Amino acid sequence: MQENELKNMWKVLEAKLDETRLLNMQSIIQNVQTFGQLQALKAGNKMTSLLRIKKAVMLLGVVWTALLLFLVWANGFSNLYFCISLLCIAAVTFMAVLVYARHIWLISQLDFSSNIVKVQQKICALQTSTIQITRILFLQSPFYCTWFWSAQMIQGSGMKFWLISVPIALFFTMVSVWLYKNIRIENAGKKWFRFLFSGREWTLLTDALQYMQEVEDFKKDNLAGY
Amino acid sequence: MVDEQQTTSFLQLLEQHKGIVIKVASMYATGFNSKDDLVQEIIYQLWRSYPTYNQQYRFTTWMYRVSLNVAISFYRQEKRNAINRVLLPVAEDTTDECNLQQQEQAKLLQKYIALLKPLDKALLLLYFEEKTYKEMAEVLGITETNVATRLSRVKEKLKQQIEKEIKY
Repeated sequence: MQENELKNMWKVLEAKLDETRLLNMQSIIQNVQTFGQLQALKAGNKMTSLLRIKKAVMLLGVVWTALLLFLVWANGFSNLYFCISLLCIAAVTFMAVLVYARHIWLISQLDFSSNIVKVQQKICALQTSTIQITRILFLQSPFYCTWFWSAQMIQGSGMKFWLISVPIALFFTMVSVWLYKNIRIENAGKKWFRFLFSGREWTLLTDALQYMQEVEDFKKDNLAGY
Repeated sequence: MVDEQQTTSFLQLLEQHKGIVIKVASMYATGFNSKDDLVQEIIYQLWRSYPTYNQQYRFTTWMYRVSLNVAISFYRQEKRNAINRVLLPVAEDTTDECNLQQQEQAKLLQKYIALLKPLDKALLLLYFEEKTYKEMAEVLGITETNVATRLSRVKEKLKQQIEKEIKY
């Protein structure tokens, strides 16, 4: 096959474009003629939708944190176990809220007029950084085992408390610290990681990780696969 | 933010170069509706980015950057389902026997372009659009040497795939 043959095939392809489809796409462009019409495109825009979802989740996090703080205030520190647990959950949730806020800022600052490799690397970094939120949120799990503790409960339940409640809380503490340390991109191929991120999240994440490698190969001209 | 005066000049430039938007949308979006959605998505991002347009670059280079970035960012996943779909909607024309063979070859080209990685697809589109290595490097963010090496491999791979299919 000669050098020009690919280009000739492309020309045939271009010439044979379905005119109806082409006209439809052209009319979309031609129908956008005013400032207001351009602004209206913002509503259905993918980036706007993504930002809207992130903002909603962030708002939920803020409301949850505020509710927890209100409960602590209402309790007036009469039960230390309850208040400390809730404060820890609130702190962890707030950390996740801050990561979300950073995501929102990064998305809104995304400059599509930068070169393709640069933009795609930023998008990959954003997609894979959802791992950060997950590992932070795991840290609050032990406190869901302790918020209902009280001095009366400890005294009243005797050995049951030490043999059941404490080991459960310790188990969750160890698991959450271990997960916090090990949920990292480098471990994405491991079985436990796949089990944890099963379903849609896993597909999106593996896709992002695979794509991250593709962008890196493209940048470095790593011709793996050719 | 873009003001109304900038919007007027933007719309004039968009009208002049609308072919870029259509080609990029046709190349990356596989479904009929998603093509229209992608066209609107690209127009919005072009308009949003217009105030930052740096006149040291050609307008078309800037337009390719934005359009390809939007397409790759939001429609990259469509590639996974695109294997058996056509890349561009081609109108059937069976009146000319000679053209029939050309159309078959063009369809093969479509098929194998659809299987390319999204960044390689961008590289190939720029090549078909007769862009220089310098322009391709500016749009993609890689060196001209990388453009040359990668493009040669992508073309070679395409040629081999098409030749193989023609033989069988």
